[in-house]
Amino acid sequence: MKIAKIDRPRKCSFLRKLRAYGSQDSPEHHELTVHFDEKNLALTSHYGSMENTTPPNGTATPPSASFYRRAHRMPSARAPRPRTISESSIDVYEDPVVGMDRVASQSNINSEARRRRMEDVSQEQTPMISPHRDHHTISSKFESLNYEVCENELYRNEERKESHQLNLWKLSLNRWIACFFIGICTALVAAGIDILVNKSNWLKQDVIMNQLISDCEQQLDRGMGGHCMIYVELVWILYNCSLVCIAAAMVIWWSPISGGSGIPQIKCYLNGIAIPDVVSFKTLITKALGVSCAVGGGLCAGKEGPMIHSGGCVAAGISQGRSTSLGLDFGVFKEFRNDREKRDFVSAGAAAGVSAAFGAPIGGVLFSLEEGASFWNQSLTWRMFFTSMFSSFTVSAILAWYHGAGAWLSWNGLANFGVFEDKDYNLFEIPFFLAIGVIGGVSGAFFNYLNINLAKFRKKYILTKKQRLLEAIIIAATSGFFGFLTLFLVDDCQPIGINPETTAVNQLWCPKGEYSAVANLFFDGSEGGIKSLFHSPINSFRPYTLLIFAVEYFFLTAWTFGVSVPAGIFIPLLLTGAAWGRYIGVGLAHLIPSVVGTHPGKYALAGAAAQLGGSVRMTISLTAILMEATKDISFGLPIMLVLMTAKLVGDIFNEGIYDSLIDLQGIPVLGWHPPKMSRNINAKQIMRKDVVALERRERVGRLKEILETTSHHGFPVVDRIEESMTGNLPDYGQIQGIILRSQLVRILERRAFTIHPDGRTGCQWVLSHEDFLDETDCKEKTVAELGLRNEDFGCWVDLSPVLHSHPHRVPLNASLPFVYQIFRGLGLRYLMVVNEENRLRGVITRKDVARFKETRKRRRYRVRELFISEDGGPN
Amino acid sequence: MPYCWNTQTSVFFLLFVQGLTFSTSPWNLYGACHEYVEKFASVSSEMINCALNYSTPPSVCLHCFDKWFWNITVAGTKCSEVIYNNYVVSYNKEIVQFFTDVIWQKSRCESCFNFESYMQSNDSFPKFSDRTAAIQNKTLAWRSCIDTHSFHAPNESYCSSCKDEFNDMFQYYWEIYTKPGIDFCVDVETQMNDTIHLWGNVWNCPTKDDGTRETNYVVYTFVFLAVTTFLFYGASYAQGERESRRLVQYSRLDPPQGQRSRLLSSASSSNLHVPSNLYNF
Repeated sequence: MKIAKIDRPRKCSFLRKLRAYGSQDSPEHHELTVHFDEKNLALTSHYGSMENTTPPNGTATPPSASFYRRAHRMPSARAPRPRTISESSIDVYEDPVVGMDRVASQSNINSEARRRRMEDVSQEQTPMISPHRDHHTISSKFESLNYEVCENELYRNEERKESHQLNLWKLSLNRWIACFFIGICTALVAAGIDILVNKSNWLKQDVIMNQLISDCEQQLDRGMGGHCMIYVELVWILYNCSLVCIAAAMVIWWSPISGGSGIPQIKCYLNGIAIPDVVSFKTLITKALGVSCAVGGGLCAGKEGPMIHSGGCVAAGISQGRSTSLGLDFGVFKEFRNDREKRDFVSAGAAAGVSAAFGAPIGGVLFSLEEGASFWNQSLTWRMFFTSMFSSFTVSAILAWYHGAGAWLSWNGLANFGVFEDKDYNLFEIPFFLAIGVIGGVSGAFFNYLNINLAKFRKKYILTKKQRLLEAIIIAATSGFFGFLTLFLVDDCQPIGINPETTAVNQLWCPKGEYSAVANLFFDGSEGGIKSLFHSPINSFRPYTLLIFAVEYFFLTAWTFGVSVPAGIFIPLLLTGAAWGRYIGVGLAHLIPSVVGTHPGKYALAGAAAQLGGSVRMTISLTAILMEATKDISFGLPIMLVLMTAKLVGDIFNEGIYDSLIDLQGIPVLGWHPPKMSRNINAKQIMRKDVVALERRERVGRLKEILETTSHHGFPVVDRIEESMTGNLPDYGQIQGIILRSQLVRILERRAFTIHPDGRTGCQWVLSHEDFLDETDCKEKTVAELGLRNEDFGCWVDLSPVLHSHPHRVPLNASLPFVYQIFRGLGLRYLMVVNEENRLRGVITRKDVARFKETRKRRRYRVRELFISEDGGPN
Repeated sequence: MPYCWNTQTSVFFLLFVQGLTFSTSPWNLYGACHEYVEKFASVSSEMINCALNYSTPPSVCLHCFDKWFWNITVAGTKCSEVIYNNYVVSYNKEIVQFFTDVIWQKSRCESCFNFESYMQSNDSFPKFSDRTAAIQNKTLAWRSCIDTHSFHAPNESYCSSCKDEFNDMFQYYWEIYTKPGIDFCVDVETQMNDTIHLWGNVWNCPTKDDGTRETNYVVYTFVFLAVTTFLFYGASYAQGERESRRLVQYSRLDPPQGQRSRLLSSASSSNLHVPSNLYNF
């Protein structure tokens, strides 16, 4: 291919016209290098390509208005400001620069056509993004996981060996062994969290509070004063604040990634994004201890989300056979030390986490598939189910032992919601369930709106560590106080014995022999509260108590979620929904008892599902989880209908809470579907052209400099790299393969280089397949640790045996949806873009694909390009 | 066909009646156990009689427990297998399960007896547990106080005269009631519920000082937390500086400059960090 440079004057006039026409932004962004490709007759700019009918002799015809329109419609180009309408021209819609339209025609018909055309153009020229108003950016700090098998010469040679058969068998067996231990250890962690929370509640409720209340009662009985309840309240708040302070300090100073639920992070990891420290041992410890403190500290927080994250951490640790945080290496499972295997195990760990949390092994598997899987993998799914089953039943055995029931495997999961005795519902109740779904969708969307705006506020203004700690303490104190305030203001004292489901009672300001029903909801632990709302007799709570509690808990949860402690939202939202669902159930039972019966528990269940589904927008996995947690499939249909309705209604207003948080963090997640209306965006506009490529034989000095100064994790290898005659970028030759950063590091570490380019002298190490099994170890090594000497820099490295010779590639005209599907489905990290001659023209990475975002306004879909944030910190 | 059916039915009925009526009948393989069956029938009817008589308020555990323990005496004998398991349907078993699951367990009768010492002793029946005995004593003390004062004072004076006994009884009960893992049987719970109801609602004796006097403290705490929260977020908003962000748009990236530009070129055309003497090979 010959690149011809267009004459300078033409280039300038062309550029001037294009600038003046619409793009009035800073000129440095409009440096347009136009060169002509003889083969495909395409004008190539730094912004993209524009098909033109330029003859091959290089004399370009004057650009027409349609050409400008196409130029402006290019999604990769910065959208110009809206054009200023010329006031002095005859036709206000004519182009003020060229004025060709007026010359060509003065007719009103043409004027009208031009007006419509310009309106179309101006609509499409609306600025794609405004950095001052729009918070949607993608952070450049996130890298992708590499899911592609590196089939290099070494690997092929390895497969020819007789011993490879045995290795394959061992690999398969080790996968099952690792899954077994993941299931067991995840269960141990989950049970540990539950026992810690249980112990904390025992200490707080049964030891400290009961003693204080008892002393207070005795004082009152003896007429020795009446202001003791305030001390009870203060001790309660102080206890909560202390535990929450521990949880927040661990997150803020030790492991910031452990804050929040953990489900968005796991979701991103399973989507193929390497978030630093997301599954490290440090994160596991912080999650487990932090969530115990947060829940024990009385926050409106659930432990189920952090358990799922903990499952992922356990899986990562066990499958890698080492802990980088602790610097321990057990020397096992070395064959799993790559992103591909690790991600599979993390998906199994997440499933085990769900299974342990809800006693829902099927729900756990479906969760991993729904949230993370790119495609259905039968064997992986079976291993996930195996892991989940072991996790679920190990938790049961441990908790049964803890509660003195021996090794009882049929013990329920951590968040068991009890078994419904009254399972009857009829066709006439379906509309009520659907209505609850609608309410759940609206309230879930409102919850997301509140929480995301709060998260934006925190991101902007609560920046220092002390501020984050103080915020956590304020929320802990307020949450504790609200419980007391509610039971002080709400007179819902019930005689003891009215509710057989009540396991603990709080008298507080109630008369002797009565307990505060609302205090039980606040102080009895969230799971106990849900169970009570599901199964208590109809007269156990006064209706207004339920409503007040639901409103309070809704806002407290919205305020709490996102603060710097490990805390989930599953249980708080279920509790909120159960309260207002039961309120509706009680109302219906009074209005139409012949239709709905006298047990409002099923409506509490529907409300819980609606509130949670309206916020998180999970579908199949949540249905399975709730069915398994209630140990009954009878309510499968209403739960499914409610979740479906809640999701449909919620999606009208905003995204699910997890997706919104991921967007806010700028994580380049690829959803299930590519953006609509994006088939006109092609690989040429998506790719990065400034590729750091290598040749088959490279000097050590160059490799060292590349490793030192770039953070790329893979480098295309081409047959030659030549200086371009026309542009700033070199002219890459035909693609030969791709080599990973970890492989380069290993080559240099093993000193597998020679003095002469032809490999005659000085190779001190013969590379083998085993050298490259551990990819993760090499990623963390710096160049300084490789021990290279000055005299090494002139040596040569032959990359041929190591490079992956057939990386995935697409032609320049491949569309965005096509590229997107390849990335999503295959879990790629790099996609080469080549021309017809297989010459490298660019590389596409995840961020290049993820930066195109679909939006919908006024019933019209648009694709816009997001900014990439390169400030390094959390954005 | 109807004729045959009637004949067969009559014969079967005759055999059946003979088996039931004559415990020593040679047709009854387990006639020796029939005395247990008869005794069981008798005790069961007594048990049902007792349970119904003591159903309002429920106090089955305290009054009917001796009937219940017949089951324990028959358990373990040779006849228990015959009575409970040898036939397709064992009505004895069904009735025992009804007593066990419905009456005994729902009434939580085990909570009121001391089974551990009973199993180690030769007593015919278990004794009340210590806490049951204690609460019964305290209840008796309170009742005797009421009885005493009712002859010498108007009803209103119950509240002040027997307040200590009531508080003592209630305090003891409440401590155990709120302690997880320890229960009273339903008999005691019901008795206490009625006692509290009688004391507080029927006789209108004060059971709690008015909580409004703590209103001030609740308001102070509320104001303190509200002000703290407001100040925290307000000050964060006022003093917070928006972090400076470096945003780029990939489609408008500048051409690579400097070091990156050099990195893009090949090794063969550049002499990166290579000491000059190395080219002399």
